[in-house]
Amino acid sequence: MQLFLKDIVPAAQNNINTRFIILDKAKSPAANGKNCIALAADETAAVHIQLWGDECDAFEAGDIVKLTNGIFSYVRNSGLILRAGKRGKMEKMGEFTVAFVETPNISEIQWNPDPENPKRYIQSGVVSAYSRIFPPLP
Amino acid sequence: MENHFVTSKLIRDSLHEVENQLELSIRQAFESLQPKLRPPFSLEIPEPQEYLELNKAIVYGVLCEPNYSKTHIKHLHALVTDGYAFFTSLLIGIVVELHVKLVDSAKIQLIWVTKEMIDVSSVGIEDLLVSLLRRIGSGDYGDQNVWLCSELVSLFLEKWDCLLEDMPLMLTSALYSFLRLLADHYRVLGVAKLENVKRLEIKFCVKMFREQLHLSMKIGRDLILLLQDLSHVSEFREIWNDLVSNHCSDIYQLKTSSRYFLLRITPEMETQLRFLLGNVKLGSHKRHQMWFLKKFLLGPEKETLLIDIVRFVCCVIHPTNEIIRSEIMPRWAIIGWLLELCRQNHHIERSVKLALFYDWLFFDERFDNIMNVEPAALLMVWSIPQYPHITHSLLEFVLHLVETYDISSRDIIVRGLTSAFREIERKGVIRSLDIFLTNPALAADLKKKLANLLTCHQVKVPVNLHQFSVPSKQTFLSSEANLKECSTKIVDIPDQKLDNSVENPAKHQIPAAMEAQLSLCLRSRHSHLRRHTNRTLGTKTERNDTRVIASHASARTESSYPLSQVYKIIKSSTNRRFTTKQIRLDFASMASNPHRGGAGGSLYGGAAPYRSREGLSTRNAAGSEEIQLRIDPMHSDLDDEITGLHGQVRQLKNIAQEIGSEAKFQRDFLDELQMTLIRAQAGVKNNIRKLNMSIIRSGNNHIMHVVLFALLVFFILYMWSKMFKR
Repeated sequence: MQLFLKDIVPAAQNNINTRFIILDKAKSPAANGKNCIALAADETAAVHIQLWGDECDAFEAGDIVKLTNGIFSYVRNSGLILRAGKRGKMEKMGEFTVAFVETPNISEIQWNPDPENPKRYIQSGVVSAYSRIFPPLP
Repeated sequence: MENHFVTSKLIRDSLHEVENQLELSIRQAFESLQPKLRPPFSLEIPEPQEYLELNKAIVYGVLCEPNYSKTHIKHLHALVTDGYAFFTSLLIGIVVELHVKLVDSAKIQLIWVTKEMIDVSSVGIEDLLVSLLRRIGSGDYGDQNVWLCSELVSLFLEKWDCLLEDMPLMLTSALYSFLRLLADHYRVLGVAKLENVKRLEIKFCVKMFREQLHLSMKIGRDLILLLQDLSHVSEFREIWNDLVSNHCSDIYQLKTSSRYFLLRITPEMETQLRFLLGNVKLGSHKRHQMWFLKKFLLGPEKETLLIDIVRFVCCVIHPTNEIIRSEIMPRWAIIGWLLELCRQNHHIERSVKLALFYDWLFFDERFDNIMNVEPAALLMVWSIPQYPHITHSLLEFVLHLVETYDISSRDIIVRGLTSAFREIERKGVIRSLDIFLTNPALAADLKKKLANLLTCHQVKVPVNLHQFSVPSKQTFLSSEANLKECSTKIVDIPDQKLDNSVENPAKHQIPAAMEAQLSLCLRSRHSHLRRHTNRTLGTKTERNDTRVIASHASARTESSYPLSQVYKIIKSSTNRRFTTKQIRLDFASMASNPHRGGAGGSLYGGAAPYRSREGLSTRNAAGSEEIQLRIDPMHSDLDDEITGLHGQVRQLKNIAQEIGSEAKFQRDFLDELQMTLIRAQAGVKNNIRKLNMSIIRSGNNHIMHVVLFALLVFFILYMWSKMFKR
């Protein structure tokens, strides 16, 4: 099932199918040289994504990407991010034609376990309306 | 063998990309049908589904197997039953969706198969050619692009006769494309590989102007815009001079069709511009704008593309009212941004501004679309608060055009510009022109210039009614001249003769002005009659006067205008402030005139069967093609007649509808018949082929028999002759 970004909840499962447009990409890859962080969004929300290996060069800002079997979880040093992981994949499916919003950013939201169902996470507060890594254009 | 087809031979694959559905489907069709794609071909008529699959497989085969392309095309020729429509639509899909990714050999094959499709004049070939023309990138001087450009000019030159016969307007489209490209190619200097292309482009364009001038002029007013950039090229100097001196005003009148503007915009660019102007909200447009810039406009040679984009945005993208009312990015904002982009290069900036205002110069509210001039108007208005310098420079530019752009057509331009300004105010694009005329942010001399422009060429306003109560000689003269053209068909009898032949008891009561007007209108055609009568009566309508006019009119009408018309018009003009009776009295008094009807009365024109009642009879009006009615006053009741006529008209309308539906039914029937015929033809073709094959196959046995029989006969003859000798 194709999810909107606003409906994505952190979980330790590789089961997220969605599509988004890449808005910005961190210039230099992170310290280990194998991955990089980017800002992505759709009509409902924005999120930070992690690109792995040659994905870093394959995708550019403005590309529409289809994610299958992705995972949204905490990664050390990077915070809450959406990624393909080992079992999922990202594919370019177009360019340009997504009218996106940059707020809310679900990577900049405080998620806590649901008291009624400790396996689920619920939103407990907004850390920042917009991405702190990729601030909106002036 | 299996592995061989895993990757596509049609496009360059990229790892992280969703498979293209079109490519996938034609590749799969090719893989599954491959055994059937080599001779001997199956002689069965394929099922409809299989037919489509075979088409897909052949498209893939033609593009990916250059060595077998002739075989594939022959197979297609034997197979085809839809006029190559599906095959061509697949090719169009490939050009639109995949052309950027095609491998080089497939691009070569694509041109080759396009020529084949021109030869068979396939259904949809125009769209294929247009989509190929749109693939020639602007400001791109890479080998691929230059190659495509020269291949396409050569194609149009090579297939000239065929195209001229089957789809002449395709040549016009090609002319638009190559004129535009040629201008760009002359702008860059020192690119050696362009020389050959330039030569071919000139050859094609000059051939168009020399041999098919009327087709060239079909482009409309943008032809001048295209040619003026080439007027310095020696080959075009003569053509330019000829066009400017002989045909300019005709061309200016003709609005350029929107399909020409599409030709210089690639499909990707069109998609993105339409998305920008149909889905992206103003305020959150910056990233999209940046991506567009990065993809299409980076590089010094790409600047000329701005001209095409501005023409495209003004003349092709016309947003709906919902979009205009919403927060979606408006067109003026995009154009303001594009203008900012070309600020560095004054030559381009001027061209872009001219592209923006070009439709203003020749604006005619009857034919031109307000949406073509709207972006410039709104850009000027919305820039006033924050960027008055933009408004100033645009207004200055457009007013300067009046003085500088084509002096010989200055009148046309002044008229066009004035009506554009008036129309944007009238249609409510801007609330009032005062926003320019009284704005403190604009320079005084500019405002004065604009005011001058708007006043010196007043749009003809309806003539003031009071003018006619005290008419001057001049107004009479002018209206008389006006009417002269329209009154040629009506028999003109000198006033004096009329005055003598008909006694007019009330003449002295009519003011001279009115009378003159009336006599004018009686000699003119219907529309003028109505207008003039309105004027005459509008001044002061008193019962008596009207009555008098009626009788006066009827007196003069004998041989010039049907009474019923005069009556009707007078009645409607005066809002029934007098009773019908009074007028009828006067009509009745005229009825005793013996020479009404006469010989002509019995002819009834062509409308006799539709007469509603005895009281009305048609007569053939002198020289007029319209059916006119005249009154037999003894039996007449006009109101009834009119309602009767309404009934007749309704009946006629019903009959017309019936005829329409009948025609539609017959057309459908014919279409069906045609389809059946085509199917039958295909069947017969295949059967004959089968018959031939079976003859060839079984032919061997026959020959054996014949030879054996001949031997036997020979042997018998031989024996018989031997015996006979003995």
